[in-house]
Amino acid sequence: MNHLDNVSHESLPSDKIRKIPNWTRSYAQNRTLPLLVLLAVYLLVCYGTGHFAQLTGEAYRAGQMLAFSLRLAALVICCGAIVALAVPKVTKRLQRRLMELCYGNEGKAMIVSSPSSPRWRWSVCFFFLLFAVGIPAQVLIGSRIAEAYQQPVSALYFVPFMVVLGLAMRPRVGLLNLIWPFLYGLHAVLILAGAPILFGGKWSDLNIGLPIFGYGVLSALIGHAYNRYSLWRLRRLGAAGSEKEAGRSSRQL
Amino acid sequence: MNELDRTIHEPARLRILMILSGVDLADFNFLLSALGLTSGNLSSHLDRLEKSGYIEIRKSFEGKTPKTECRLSSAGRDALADYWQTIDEIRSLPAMHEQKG
Repeated sequence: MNHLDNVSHESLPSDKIRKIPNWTRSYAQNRTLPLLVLLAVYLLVCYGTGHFAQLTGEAYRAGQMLAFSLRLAALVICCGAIVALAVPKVTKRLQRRLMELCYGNEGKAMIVSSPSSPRWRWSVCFFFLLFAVGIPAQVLIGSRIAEAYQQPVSALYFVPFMVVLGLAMRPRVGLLNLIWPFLYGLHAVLILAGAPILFGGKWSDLNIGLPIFGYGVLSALIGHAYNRYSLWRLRRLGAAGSEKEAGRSSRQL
Repeated sequence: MNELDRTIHEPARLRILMILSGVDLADFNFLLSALGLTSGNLSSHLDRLEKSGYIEIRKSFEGKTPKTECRLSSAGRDALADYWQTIDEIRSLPAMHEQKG
């Protein structure tokens, strides 16, 4: 063991360094700002479609053709944006641009591999089908479902799909992404338990809209906060190496 | 007991490998911001690690901007695991001596 004679225990790396991969992974998994922006865009486009559809109808009934034309044009733009956002290629490109914009200064750290076992793929396909059928089905038979049960019914297809998608995308995304479906499911349980969290009258649309976007934004914000914390921890551990190196160089001088 | 790998034992290079072991790829700017090294210093460390076969470097251009992406190679992953095993063995030595004493 002669080669160990000149290795003092003080010169051995600290065990804290072993946490660097964990913090790097947490950082890469929780870059959620683009999701936040995309959610805002979806929200804006969905709201815009509904709003301009109503205004266009009003202008038509009032016989105001100029207002009708302008509002119709705005409605067409919103509908076009919905169609564009439904194309995966467009969303991916938008997400890449946003990622570059939000985190470009910090550089890129990515987990590209994803478990692609057939079991996961089939699970995602199955629950996506349930999700894709669930939305139009609820829109069609929505009037037959009592207002109080609208959100819990939507949770039946939203929560399983989001959970399976989040688990299937691991390790590319972290477990914090499951906060979104968890809170949405909890919201449904609270409604069924009789908690006073229902909107009535003209605000009844918020019963589904607010939990979907609200918990999505909350989940993305928590993810972003954890991403900042991970980077801070990583920089502290990383900078310790450069300080040590600087010290070693100055001793050599 | 294995010899300590001197390429990895250097603090900045150890941290570079540890960062790369946590993700599939990291680019030059990320390593720069995480480690707080100068560009020249980081370049020379990456060069040394690439020559040792511990990392793979891919250089490309995005428009006119040069991009340098680094990945840990399988040899690098094995070397890193061996390195930490050696460190653990060295750490356990005094305890063994005390037990003997």
